[in-house]
Amino acid sequence: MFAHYLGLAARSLARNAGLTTLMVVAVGIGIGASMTMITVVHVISGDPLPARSAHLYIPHLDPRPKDASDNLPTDDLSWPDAQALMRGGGASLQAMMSDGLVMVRNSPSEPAAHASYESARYTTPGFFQLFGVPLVQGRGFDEAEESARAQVAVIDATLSQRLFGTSQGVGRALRIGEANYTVIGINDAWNPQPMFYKDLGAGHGFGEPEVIFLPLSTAMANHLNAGHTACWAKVPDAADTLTSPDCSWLQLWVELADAGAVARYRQFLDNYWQHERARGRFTRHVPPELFDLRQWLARAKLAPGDVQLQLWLSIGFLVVCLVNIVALLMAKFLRRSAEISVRRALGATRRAIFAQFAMEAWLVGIGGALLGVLVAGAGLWTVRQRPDDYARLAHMDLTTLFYTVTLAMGATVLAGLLPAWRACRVAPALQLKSL
Amino acid sequence: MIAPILASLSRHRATTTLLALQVALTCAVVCNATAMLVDRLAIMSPVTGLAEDRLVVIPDVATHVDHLVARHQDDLARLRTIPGVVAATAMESLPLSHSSFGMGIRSTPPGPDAGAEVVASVYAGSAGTLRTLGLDLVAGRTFNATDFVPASASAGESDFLKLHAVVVTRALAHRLWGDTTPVQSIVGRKLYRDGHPVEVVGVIDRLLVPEPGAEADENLSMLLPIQPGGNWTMFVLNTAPELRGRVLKDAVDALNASDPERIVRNADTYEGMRGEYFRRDRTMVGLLIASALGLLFVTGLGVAGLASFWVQQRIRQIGIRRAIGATRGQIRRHFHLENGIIVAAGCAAGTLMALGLNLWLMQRYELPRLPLGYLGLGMATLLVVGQMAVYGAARRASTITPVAAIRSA
Repeated sequence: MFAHYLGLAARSLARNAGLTTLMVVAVGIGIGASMTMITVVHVISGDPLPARSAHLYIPHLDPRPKDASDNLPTDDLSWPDAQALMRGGGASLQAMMSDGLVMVRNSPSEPAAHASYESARYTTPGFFQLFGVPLVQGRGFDEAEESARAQVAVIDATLSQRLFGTSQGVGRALRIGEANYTVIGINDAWNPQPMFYKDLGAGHGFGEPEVIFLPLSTAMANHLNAGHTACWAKVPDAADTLTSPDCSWLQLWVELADAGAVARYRQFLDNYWQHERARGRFTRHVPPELFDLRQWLARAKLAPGDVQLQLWLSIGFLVVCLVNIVALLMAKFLRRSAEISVRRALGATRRAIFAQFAMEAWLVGIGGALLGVLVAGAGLWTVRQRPDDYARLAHMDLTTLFYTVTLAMGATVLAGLLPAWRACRVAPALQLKSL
Repeated sequence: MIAPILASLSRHRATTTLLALQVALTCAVVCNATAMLVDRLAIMSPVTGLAEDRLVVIPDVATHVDHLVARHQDDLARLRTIPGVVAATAMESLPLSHSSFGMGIRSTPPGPDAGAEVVASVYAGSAGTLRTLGLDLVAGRTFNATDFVPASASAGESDFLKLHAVVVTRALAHRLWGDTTPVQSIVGRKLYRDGHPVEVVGVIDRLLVPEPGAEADENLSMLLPIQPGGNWTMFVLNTAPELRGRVLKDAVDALNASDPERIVRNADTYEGMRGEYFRRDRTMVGLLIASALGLLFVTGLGVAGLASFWVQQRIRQIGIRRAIGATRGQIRRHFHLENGIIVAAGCAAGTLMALGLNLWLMQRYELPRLPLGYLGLGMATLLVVGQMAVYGAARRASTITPVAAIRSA
């Protein structure tokens, strides 16, 4: 019976080839456009570190005084607060960090390479284990190096290749700003997207990861440029900006293994806040918070307004296309009322009529799905040409392919339900009389 | 005429409702998309105040950090020798350059009755900036050699405190001293930052801020006679429009030849830079136009498809009407009118949907209120599309002969 209905449906569609093409094209474009934008939004809201994200938390304080203006970013911590949380928090793993753009050259002992600006992350030793950074050679820096402000660096394998002609650059030296650093570790292929650990308030959640990792204390001692520093009070001596309690520029991430550890950390955070308030700080009375990674990303609202509008636009387009198809299928099916009546009179059940006509809708769905995959592929290609930092992530994978096909089939079968139902409700006697 | 059409439509209630629903959805989306489109186009067309078609911009990063002020002056001297270069300057930012620096200033010295602080965008540039950018000086004078101070690091506050002269835009002058003050009388007045007075020596017509917001006509900016001294700087060259390509190439080559270690990237004409700044908006504009046209097209095809079904379904009835005296024109008008009724009903619902959609967009994406004129425009467009779409089917219906009435359907 299935093959028979398939044949009937195909013949019926072929009879109105123009109309069939129109329906398939409408479904295809609607599905393709929606899937393009759904994929983009999916990519933007993906889990950056699936293996670890469940246990990563970020504490949040609002250290600004009552009268500070509201438009200053407050997602970062000041140096004294970050220090205190690191010391007393009792997290199993933790790291505080900031980032900046540094000028990199080869040290005089190496063959000359063209100078370039590279993004660097300044952090504490826990960073590599906390985020599972794969070190393919050497090691990360340790507490001794951090406290001694050692001139050591972990760099990315591609940077090593460019500077030294080998991806195994441990032991070589590079110059950052005016100081020389020894490479002690090489990391490879660590690129969580979105880059949750960055100051997301600064706008860029996607893109190339940092290629240089330096001890935070060393970076501070060498006055390397530090990302987005926000101050809410005048710092008497500009040289003290980074250590001032009135300037925020650090991110602190902690690993908390279970609910008990989370509760203990919350308690600690609260105690710290109360303690500082007693000293006259935190006059805005915004209680401290502890976000897990997903909450943090949701809070950052990484999907740009334009992308969301485009998503709604594409969904609106799909809905109009589907209503269009419902109307066309309905008209088409009801025109065949006479044929339906004859079949019914000869003993076909309503269910059989329904199956026959649903099959026709389903065939349109298959055509629409195939076209939709092509349109989505083309759509994602155009998204990748955009200048935005999320753009190059927009690829179709098996999951999105599966969803595209499912959405197309589901949508058209749904669109075919009403017409097919109306078709199977045709009253045979009335129609047969008028034949 | 209308009563029989309504009666016949009531026999296709489901299909008619679906078609009207489709028209309503299309109307709602197209009205809002058009409004968004017009907003975007307004955002994309700010007047910068620059001689845009004569400018070439070369961002330069020095990898050695000593004597940068002198180095930039040397580079400028080198660039000025390139044939075709009329004027050249070094700046830290430009309108639509993404790099902005704002500074709070007042029209009065600090004190109990000090005026309100105005945040102005600051452009620091070396000698010749006004001439290079082609700014329109409406009062006062340009900077002279004694006005300039070398930057200590980048145009920060400490440099401002060394200045004694500044050029402001008309908009900034009006903000500081009131809209009615003539610009001629503003020359010679003082503005203050942290109690430090600086004299306004000239007023320019307009100079857009580096990153204009939705208003797209923000000109609260001032030009400071500071010779840039950071290692990130922009050389701006003024040349004849047709020479820009060659001048751009010669300038990049000359800079690279003088110091192979420097990083010169994204050198472009100002128009190219401006295009890059609005690339996202252009994408959005393209998508909005494509979706609106696509929706109208799909709806039009839907109308055409349904109409042709209905004509086929009613061959016998049409034949009977022709047989009892209806003219071809009457048959044709029947289908056009029928379509007009459905589309009008759809548009009526669509207007409400458009307003609802607009309310939601206003809340969620802070879009402006939908001007009601767009609703009329959307309705008119859909009516025209509907009439065009039904034309073919109506014509075919009118060619049905009375004899069809007695043939079997």
